[in-house]
Amino acid sequence: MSTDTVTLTVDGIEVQVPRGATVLQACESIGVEIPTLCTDPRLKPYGACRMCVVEVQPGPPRPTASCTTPAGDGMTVVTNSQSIRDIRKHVIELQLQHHPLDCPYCDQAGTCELQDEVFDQEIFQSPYETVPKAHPEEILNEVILINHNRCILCGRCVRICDEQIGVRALDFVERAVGTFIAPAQHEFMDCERCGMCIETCPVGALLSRPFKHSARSWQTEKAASTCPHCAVGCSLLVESRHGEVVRTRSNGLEEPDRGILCAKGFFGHSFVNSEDRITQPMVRRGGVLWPVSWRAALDAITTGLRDVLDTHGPGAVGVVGSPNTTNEDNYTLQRFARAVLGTNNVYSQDSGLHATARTLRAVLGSDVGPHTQSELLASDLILVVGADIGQTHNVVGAHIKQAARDAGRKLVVATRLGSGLDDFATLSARVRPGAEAAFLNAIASGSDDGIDATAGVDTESLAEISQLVASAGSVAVVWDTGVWTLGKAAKIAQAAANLALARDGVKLFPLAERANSVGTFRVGMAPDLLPGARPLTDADARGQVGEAWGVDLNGEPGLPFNDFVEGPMQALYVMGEDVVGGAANPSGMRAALRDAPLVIAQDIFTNATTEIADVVLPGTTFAEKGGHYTNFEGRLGRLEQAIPPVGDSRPDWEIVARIAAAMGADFGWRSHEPISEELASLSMPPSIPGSGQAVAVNGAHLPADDGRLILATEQHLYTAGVAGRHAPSLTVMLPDAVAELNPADAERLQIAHGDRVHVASAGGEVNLKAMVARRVPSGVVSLPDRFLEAAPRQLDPRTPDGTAVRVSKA
Amino acid sequence: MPLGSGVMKGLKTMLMVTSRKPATVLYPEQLRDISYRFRGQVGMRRDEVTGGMTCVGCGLCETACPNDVIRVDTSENEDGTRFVDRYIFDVGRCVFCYFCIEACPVDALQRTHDFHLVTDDRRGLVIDGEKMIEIFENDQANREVEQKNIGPGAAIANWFERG
Repeated sequence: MSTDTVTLTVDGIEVQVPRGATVLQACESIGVEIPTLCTDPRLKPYGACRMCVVEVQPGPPRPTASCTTPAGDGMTVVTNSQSIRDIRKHVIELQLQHHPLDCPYCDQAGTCELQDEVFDQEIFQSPYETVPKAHPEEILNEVILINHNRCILCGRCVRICDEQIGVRALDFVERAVGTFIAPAQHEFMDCERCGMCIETCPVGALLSRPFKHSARSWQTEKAASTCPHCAVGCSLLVESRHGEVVRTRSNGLEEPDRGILCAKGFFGHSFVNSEDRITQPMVRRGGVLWPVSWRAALDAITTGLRDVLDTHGPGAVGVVGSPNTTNEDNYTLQRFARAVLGTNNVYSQDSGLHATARTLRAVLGSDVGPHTQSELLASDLILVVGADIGQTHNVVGAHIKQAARDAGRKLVVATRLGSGLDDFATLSARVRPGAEAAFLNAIASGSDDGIDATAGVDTESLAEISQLVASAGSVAVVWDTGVWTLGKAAKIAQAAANLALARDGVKLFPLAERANSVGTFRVGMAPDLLPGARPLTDADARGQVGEAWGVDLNGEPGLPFNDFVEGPMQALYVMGEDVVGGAANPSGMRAALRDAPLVIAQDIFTNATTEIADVVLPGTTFAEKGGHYTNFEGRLGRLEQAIPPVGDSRPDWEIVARIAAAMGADFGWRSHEPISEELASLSMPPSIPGSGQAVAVNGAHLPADDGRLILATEQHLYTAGVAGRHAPSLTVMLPDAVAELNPADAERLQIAHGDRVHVASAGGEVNLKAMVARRVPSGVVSLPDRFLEAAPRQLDPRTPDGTAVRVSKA
Repeated sequence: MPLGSGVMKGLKTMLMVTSRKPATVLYPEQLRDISYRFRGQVGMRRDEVTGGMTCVGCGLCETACPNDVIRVDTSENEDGTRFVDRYIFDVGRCVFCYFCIEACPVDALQRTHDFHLVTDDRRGLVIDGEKMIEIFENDQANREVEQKNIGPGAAIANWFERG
């Protein structure tokens, strides 16, 4: 008999399961249903509720909890005898002694596991005197509340917060009948607000405050979609009612999220039905935007575009795609630009990911991926560099924590600030902002010559990290390519590639900033790329794409974006992007767009670009259209339409296709499926041999020791771009924008916690509140990214991160 | 049959019909008596404590309704309880099956004998909770007749006392 499996008999049926599986899993594998309350597939067995009792022979002469009993060879399991049924019924009756039967009020009714059990066990009345607990509902934080009366103390919330999220915000308090669930450290539950305690709660004890009492679980329409907030691409179950998204939940245990979400996924959907949405096409007349019909808007666009094409030629027209929209949207826009307008001025704004992907492709031959998250988590050593993954890509961060703790992976954290990953790290060190590339380069070259001056890592840690990297069988290098990498993404990618070239078994995981950043690259939203990210200069690729589109493609790449804007730009079509607000030089960009005769902005919210656009078109969010996002691994995440488009808005691809049709090129698409097929057929990955050359990368020079601090731009967990600012459930948890300082620096500069400070650089200054925090290393000041009132870009438009700034008391 | 008897027969029928009381009445000036078992518009009980709707917003009526007549929009009240923002009942779609009344866990929905559903506009057939309370309260006399006739079993149960 094989040693890998065990054979046992369940209710007279022989069943084979892998060694180590529990009796419960053995029963479930042949479809024998065993009622459970404290079991969650994401969690380790716990054995709290005693609902899953079975009779096991050989074994103790008493009922055994099947969830915690490992299946053994030759076991005989009886799951449904009279005594077992009696015990289960008894357990529920005892639970009902305290559990109020307020199902008509309760948000969990319909998905409540206790309610289902009561129904299955046919309990109509508890034989015991019911003693409802008399706790009031308690608000734990901005989005989570607990109803102690309904709690059955299964401990699932406590365990998921510990085992899966690694935050340990909840715990059991008091003992015996007085036990209740409460925040572990403080009265206020200051956690990551991921909502997984709400998700796992089998009854209506832990509740979502934004969702509370807004719909019953059986009334909502469910759609399996993908989270639009970052590049992890967690699968979401979008629940809507009467055309309004009421909540999102985790959907299944598959990759990449493995059944967990972060605050943005769980609470960040409320922007969809925000009142600030653009719901009508608008055309600017006399300096004011007027709502018009679709026909009038399309007329204005086609006449405008034809004028520009006739007088200035196709080179004067450009289109900007967006990592907030789907592959299909971007592909349609690209086809429109290249095949109908005849221009190769095709852009997208995620510079960090594009620079990273280009560098990696030039050196190693592959852009992002082809490694998956499971390979990341299976690596012997995980090296996190730069920004805090727990803030930028929370779900990947949670998985890394779990791998470090439970799977015995070594975790080396080399971030700029202290992070939640430090507690799980084998070794954690701080890298000076601006020296991340030099740090990686030093590990790759194995020498620490002069590195103490540039990387800001003390040489001892560096030697130790190099040692750990050298001795590990496989290494995963993980870094975020968000806004902090502006201007240095290529350097960091080169340094990481150096490490991959220096030794075998190194896998690189650049984490893209936004949901479809990788998609915009793969779809070819760049002046010199084609679908599949094949180079435009490749005649074969051009021929193939041109054949599919029925045109001869112009083989000359378009201009770089800034050259185009400053040069021949006469018309710009911007889809789902704020080119002004996100520009390195917003005022210059604004002036250039004002001078252009035609600017078309298609977005869901008004922004700096729509303010000066000549035509504004209402686009749609992830919930209102079908399509695909490409996540950081290159995995396609499917979007399913959950609600009809809000107001007069239309799916972005449809708007572009209609304009194309109005200009005489009907693509013939009536849904997104044919676009997906066409894109897939054209997306052959190019075979580009990497140069395989390591290029040494230097860090930025350490500024003179004149009392200035180095700026670290950090993305906060609850910031989710423009969409996040219009999601009330996310903005309530967003703390004030603060400048974080090390206590030593604060003392030297005589700044107290809560003072207002000036942060000034050569490029500008901001005034905001100071926070003294130990997580900031000395010599560094941390500013949040993407806060309206304190955008670091406003501070220094060129290279915000890693530059020296002067901090003084206001 | 003698000649002319048919005329006499016809005359007799005519005289009989003209002397009979008419089956129709001049609604709305006159109303017909209705059976105490008449199935009329669904009404809503007024909550004795709050003075508003008894409805707790559980949405079971909406779920039970086969015809998409009812829509209950709820939100969170200041004290954390479920609050009914809007209770909408589209009489124009109702088939008077009373599944909603069966489903109601707090006996907020009640059968009435009301049939005064005439409006000059289809929009007038969409009524809200307040209107349903009004319908229920105007039906007091008919309800008393009914209770007299079918005994104490038909009495409205009090949810709060039932426990």
